[in-house]
Order: sequence, then structure tokens, then C-alpha cells
Amino acid sequence: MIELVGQPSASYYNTNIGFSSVSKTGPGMVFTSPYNLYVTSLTFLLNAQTAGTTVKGYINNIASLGDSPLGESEAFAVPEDEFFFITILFTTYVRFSNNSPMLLSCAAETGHGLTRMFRRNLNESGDPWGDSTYFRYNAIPNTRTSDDDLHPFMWVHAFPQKYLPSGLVVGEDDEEIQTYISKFAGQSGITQMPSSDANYSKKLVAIGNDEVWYESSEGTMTELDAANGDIDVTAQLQSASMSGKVFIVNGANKKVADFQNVKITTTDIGANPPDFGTILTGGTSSASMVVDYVTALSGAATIYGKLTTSATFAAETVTGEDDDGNAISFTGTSQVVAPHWYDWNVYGGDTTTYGTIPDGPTLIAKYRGRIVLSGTSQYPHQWYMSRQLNPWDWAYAALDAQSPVAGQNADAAECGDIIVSLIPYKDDYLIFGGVNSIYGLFGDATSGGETVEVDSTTGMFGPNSWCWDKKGNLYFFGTDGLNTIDRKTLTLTNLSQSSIPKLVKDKLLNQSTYRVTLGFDRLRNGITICFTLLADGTNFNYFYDLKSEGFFPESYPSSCAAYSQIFYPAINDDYTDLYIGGADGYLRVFDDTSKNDIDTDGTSIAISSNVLMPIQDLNEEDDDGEGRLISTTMVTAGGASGGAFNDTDGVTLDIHVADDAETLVEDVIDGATPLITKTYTGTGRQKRLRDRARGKWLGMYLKNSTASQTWVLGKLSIKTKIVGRIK
Amino acid sequence: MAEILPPIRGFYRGSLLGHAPDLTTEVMNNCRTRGTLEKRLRIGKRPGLNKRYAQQIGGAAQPIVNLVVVEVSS
Repeated sequence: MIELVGQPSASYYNTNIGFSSVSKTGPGMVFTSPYNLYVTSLTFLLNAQTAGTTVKGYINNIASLGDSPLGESEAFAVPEDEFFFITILFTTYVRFSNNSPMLLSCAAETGHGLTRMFRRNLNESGDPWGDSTYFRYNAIPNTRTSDDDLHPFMWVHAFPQKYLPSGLVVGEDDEEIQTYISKFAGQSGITQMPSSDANYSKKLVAIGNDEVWYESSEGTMTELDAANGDIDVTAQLQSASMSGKVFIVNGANKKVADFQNVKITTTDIGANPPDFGTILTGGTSSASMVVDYVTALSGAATIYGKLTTSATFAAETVTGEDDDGNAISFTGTSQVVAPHWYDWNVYGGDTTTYGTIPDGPTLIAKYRGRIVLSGTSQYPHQWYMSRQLNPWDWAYAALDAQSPVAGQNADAAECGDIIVSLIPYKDDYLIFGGVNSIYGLFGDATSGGETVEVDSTTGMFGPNSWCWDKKGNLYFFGTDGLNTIDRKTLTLTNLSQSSIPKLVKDKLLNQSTYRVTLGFDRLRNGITICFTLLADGTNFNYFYDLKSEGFFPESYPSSCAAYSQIFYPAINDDYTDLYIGGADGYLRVFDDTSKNDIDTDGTSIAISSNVLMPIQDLNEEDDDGEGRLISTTMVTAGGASGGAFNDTDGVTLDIHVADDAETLVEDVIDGATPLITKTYTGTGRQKRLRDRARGKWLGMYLKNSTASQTWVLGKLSIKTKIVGRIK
Repeated sequence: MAEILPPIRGFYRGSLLGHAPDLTTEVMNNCRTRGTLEKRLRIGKRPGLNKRYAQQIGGAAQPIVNLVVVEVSS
């Protein structure tokens, strides 16, 4: 499987994909990469003129040009006199050292050949190598980044712009470039294909410091300026996305961050305002939109709608026909593209027709195409739902199949507990996490759905204390620890009761001072459970491994403490990961190649890691008997298969002995001086440790607190013998 | 030689100290299991928390209180 390090970027003229710099020189290009790449092939577009010329590909260290090349390909005979692609496979992998400039070139093996041809180009009027308006390059390193990975592979294109097919405008249309590259990689001659199978994009949206930020382009977060100061993050705040918009509830604030619609404004919307879903057309531009929302049904208004044409609305007369067949006509302004920020209100502000959105909600979710609200201070047991696929309609009295509905006027009814969390599972059911109970609404509230108590022995800790795993099982932190609800049977099981029974009590967890967030890490098949003191980011955390069903305690620097989590399945897989919304405003991920936590200012913070290996009874045959440790053999390991884990740098082994198991564990917890200490470095089998230790119980404690170091235990073995009675 | 199997079933404080079940431990911090070519789990230091975006949300060292993903049709 080939792993893409980079993707073609929009800035095609300066595409340095996977490279920190690229520049031309003579017959080749100089690449500098921040990665350790292994090059196995090059692909060039060449304007060969002499069939039969034999060429080779070369890789040189730019610092020692003139020396023997670091790698070279088999010879290749130019097949014809026209320009063509040449892919040169190297017979051995050539290491492309990180931050060491390397020259990739294609040159004639003998006589006149491509070297001469390139040089001829260099001598042409306009110098296509020197004139950036002529020559373009693109490089796609398909590779892994560590020394011991499999399938190293690299693919480099170089081609003059004048050989691009007519109609392509390089640098102005990134999709065209991606298509073009795909064509190179696949069947030649294909021209009748879709430009892309993706008819959507995704954006990560983050909220902090009374500001809303969104992913404006891959790898870049940008503030939605209009939202600045419009929310209050010291109050409870939640959001849900639907139809290209993010709906935010924040107590008194109900807002919409709209990434989908264009907007036009008018000073007079006319006698017949557009309805939800009306098609409007620009009289001059012929632009068209499907109306989503209008701020007013008379006088001055702003109209938000989904643009359905490549033409855009200008300042012009806009016409359409409403649901009753009445002609719509008003003078609108030129369109403004998303993102937009506005108050969340009912359609046109018409409370007579569309009801009223509940005051002061703090909980929000999307379920069966409806926006669900709860958590109001007036009616904390109550839930409210908008009309299906229309978040602007809250007139509960309609009572058709898609009608808005609230708990007090539906057969499904309220759930009888203060609602703490709204948890939708696909379109099957909606979990109401209560203070002391768990309820579920099965089906649709206006079409035969019913509310059922799932459990009355535990409540939900907080609004964000839950997540789904890949199979659809719900995990939530309740008032009694970590629980799971089976997706099929809805059977509730407490997962922490046996292994950490006093988790809530020992940690003095308090809903008013702690935030508990859960995030399913699809890449590592586990759940990150974070307990963060709201006041200062003090934290303790567990990684729950779904494979081993074990809890793994973790602590993070307070700057990295999790105030929010989300798994972001980005379109560009480079950005797919579990994101931790940090105490310091930075978005972080667990980076398998990082040996440190990264602080606010970019400095590295050492990760203090330790584990007491399962303790050993050195004389199992006799409760009064002791044993002796004769020798210890350790194998330290490196990265896992398919991943990019680092090799072990170092790990310290402390050896403790005691007459009873409890004392031994307490000694380790209390930091008692070990009987033996040995620090190992590097990977592989370590030299046997022959230090001896006598006692009843033996504890082997592994630890490392050094910055920029990591470790993995491969194997730990001991040789012991029974020696006599405890003295 | 006897191999001490790593505590791949994680942390355990469900009994008196010194009586944790097999493959668990009573003392552990910042360690996780890792798979290997041989399909056996090993144990080691957890991965580091690294910044994924250069921008600081909110422009100040204040918490990111909410995250959401929105899909936009083209």
C-alpha cells in the first residue's frame, strides 16, 4: 500500500509536495525534503529527439556533484523522436536524507542524448529552465518516512508547460491539475471522465475565546470575523452541523455559521416574499439559487440560498414564484459568498407561521434530519425538534409527519429527568442522557416513535462525555464510571467497575468543576477519556484500548489539556485524526512520530512514562519462601508494522523486592529507592543484567522521563531460583 | 528464563494492592500498547501531543471549547 505524503496543492506554480524546496539545475532538479525518503523511481517528460539514445536516471548529493552518483537506474533506450514520459526505476533504494539537498536528473549514458537535449533547451531563446513562465515541475513523493518501512517509492514529474494539453490553465484550476496527474498515472488518452467524485468538502470548525474559526483551506484555520465577540464561551456552548451550516446554542445566543449559502440583500423584498425552497433567478445574470432562509418577509431583508449555477447574482432584479404561485420580484444586491454569520431565528422572523425557537438552549443535536434542542433553564426535562430538514420551522402545532415537535405535545413524551446530553445514533434512536438515568427515543417523534428508559442506575456526566465506536456502540462516562451501550441490544455495561471501581470517588470528580470528554480514535482503535479541571487545565486521562479492553492512564501538560475532542474524517487523509481542543487554543493530535508533547510556544515537553510490570512471586511453592533473581534480559523494540513509531532511545529498569505484594507496589508508588537500577539504550537484545536480588516478591519498573526519547518493550525475561525461607 | 508478559490489559485498581489480574498493572502512566509484525501487543511510551494547525484558535491561550465538522456541497 502506498502512502501519500502530500497532495497537489492549489499553488501549483510553487508546488513543493513533500519537499521543503525545489529548484532547477542543469539537466535536473534539486529537491530538499524534511523527510527521509527512499527513491526508487523518477518520471520525466522529455522532448527526446533521437530515437535509440540510451539514458539513465541519476541521484546525486548536490553537495558533492561530480562524484559518483548515489544511485542510478538501468539504461533505457529512447523509443521515438517525440516527447514522452520516461519512468526510471532504480535498482536499489536511494536514501533521500532529510534536509540534505539532492539532485534528481536524467542524462544520456553515452554520446548525444538527453543531457544535450536539456542543454539545448537551456540555450533556447527564453531559457525554459530559467524562465518560470515556461517551465513547471511537480513532484509527488509516495513514500513512508522512517528507515525501516516497506514499499519505499517516489514519483517525480517534470514537464514544460508548453507541453500541457490545450485548455488547461496551470495554477488556476487545481482540480484540473489533479486530473492531469491522474491521467499521467493511469490509462493514457482518457479525456471523458468526471473531474472528481467528490461533490462536497469538509471543514473543521473550532470555537474558543468568544471566536469561531474554520478550516479555510487544508491545514489552515481562519477566524470567522463576523462572529467575534458574538458568543460567550464562559457559558455552556454546543453546536451541530446540518446542510452546510453550523448551528450554535450558547444560552441566550443562538447563532448560525453558514458555509453553504450565498446571500443577497434587498431594501424591499416585495409583496410576495420567497418561501423556504423557492427558486430565485437573477434577471440579468441568470444566476439561480434555492432559498434557504430569509431574515424578514417584508421590507428590507437578507436572503440566503444555495447557488445552483456557475453564474453569480449581480445587483439586479430577482424573480421567482412562491409556493402559492405568486410572482416574486425584488431588487437585490450582488451576492456575497460564504461563510456568513447570523442570528438563528425562525423563517422570516414569522413566529405566527413558524413558531418560536426555545429560549436559552444549551444542548443541540441532529436527528432524523431535525435539529434537536434541550437544556433550557425553564424546562430542563424538555426536548424540542425542528421540522425535518428545515431548522427555521418550530411551529409544533402543525402535526404532519415532518412537523416540528416537542416532548410535551408528542406521544413520545418527555423523559422525566433533567437532560444533560443529546446523543443521536444514526436515524435509529436518540439517547437522552439524564442526570440519573438514560432514556432513548426510538423512531420519529411524530410518526410512531416512543421514549423508553434504557437505564436508571447511572446518569450522564456531561454534555460531551460520550462517543461512538466504529461498530456503533455507545461509550459514555456516567456518574459511576465508563459505560457502554450495545448498539443492537441496548444493554448497558459498566467497563470501569472492575478495574477502576473508585474512579469517580477517588478523583473527586464533580460535574461543576470538571469537563469530561470522550473521543473515539479510529486510527488507534481506542477511546480517549479526558478529565479536565475547567479552571486551569489540570487533567488526568485514560486511553481505553478497544482491542485489549484495558485502561491506560495518561497525563498531559495543562496547556494541552482537552476541553473538546472530535474525530475529523478529512477528505485529505493527512488531516484525518482525533483532534484535541487544547487549553491554549491549539488543535493537537497524537503524533506517532513525536516523542514529546508540544507546548504553546512550540517547546518540547518530556513525557514522563512508567509501568510496573506484573509483579512476580519468586517462590510460589512456599508462602514463607523467598527466591533470587539471577539475571534479567531485556529486548527493546522499535516501530510497529505499518506505522511510524520511533525506535527505543532509552528506558530505565528499576528492580524492587519486598516480602509482600502490597508493600512492593506501595514502594513503587511512593518512589522508594530501588534495589537495582539499569538504563538501557537503543533497540534490540540488551546485554544480560546479572545483578541479583533476593526476596519474596519482585517488581520490574520501567520508566523514561527524558525529552525527545521514547521506548517500546519487546520482551523482558528473568531467571530465578528458589533459595529458602523469608528471613 | 521466564518471560514477564507486559500489562497489555492496562491499569487495574480493583483489588488489594499486589493482587492485580494477569496482564494488568497497578502502576502505569503515559504508556499504551502497540501492535507489531508478529501480531503480539507490546507496551511503550504513548505518542506525543503535537500541534496539527499552526493557528491559535481565538488568538490567545484560551481553551477550545467546541469542535464540529461541517460538510459543504459543491
